[in-house]
Amino acid sequence: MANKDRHPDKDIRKAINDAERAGWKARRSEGAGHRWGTMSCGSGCEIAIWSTPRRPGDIAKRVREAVKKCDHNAGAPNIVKQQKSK
Amino acid sequence: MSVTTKPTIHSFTLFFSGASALNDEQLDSLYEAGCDDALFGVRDGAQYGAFDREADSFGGALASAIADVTSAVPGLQIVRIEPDELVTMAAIAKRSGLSREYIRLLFTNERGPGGFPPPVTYADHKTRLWHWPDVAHWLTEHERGKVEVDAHAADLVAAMNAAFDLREHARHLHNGHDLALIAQALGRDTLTHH
Repeated sequence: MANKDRHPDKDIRKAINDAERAGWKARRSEGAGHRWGTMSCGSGCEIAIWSTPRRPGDIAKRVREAVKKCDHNAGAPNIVKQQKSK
Repeated sequence: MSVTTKPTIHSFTLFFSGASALNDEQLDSLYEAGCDDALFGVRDGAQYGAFDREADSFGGALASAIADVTSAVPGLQIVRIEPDELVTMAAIAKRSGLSREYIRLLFTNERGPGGFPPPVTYADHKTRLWHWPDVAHWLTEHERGKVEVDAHAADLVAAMNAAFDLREHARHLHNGHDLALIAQALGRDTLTHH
């Protein structure tokens, strides 16, 4: 992902990278909204990520949870599922 | 259990229908309404907002989140709240902070005072499902000091989910006879007498 498209928060950036490795695709939003962009698994799961959430750590945790609960990419190398998230 | 009113973060997920929350305009409204502490998404065709909301109580957090989403997105209707009321043994262990093995021993009367609530249904022939408020009340009474379980939150979520279900089913029950039957089955004054 190009530099200008990087999420400003380090925790969320890490969660996005992990999601991408689990087969999810990030799509940067155009325009000036509060949404940084969306991610989807390609088979129905989708999440919207704020540019500046109140507590970025909580949103990063929720991104990981969404990826973990998605079983549409069972074939993809899913490192997120193997991590202990608790 | 402490009676502190210090605000803490309460985590829950609201599922909703009736309007899309995931376009730019609706998301901006949600953000500006105060939902910058939630992740909005779709899973298995169901829209949700996963909240980590700071409030004095679970009920307060739930109330403010519901007020925010319903005011931000016209036509949006809450249909379910999670963590919900049906739990496996593994979920009971996770929610109570006790080990799965210890829960099993309580259930089989090998530990504890006996009388652990029976499961309410089965997901398949070997997966028992319990009603979380039953378990939360039992653990609060019999495992005091060992668990941090919010039995009130358990009742609140279960009652709200039951109300959402009733609203959904009532839409399909057109005649007064059906509704009168429900009222009769519930017992008169069920909701007002204590």
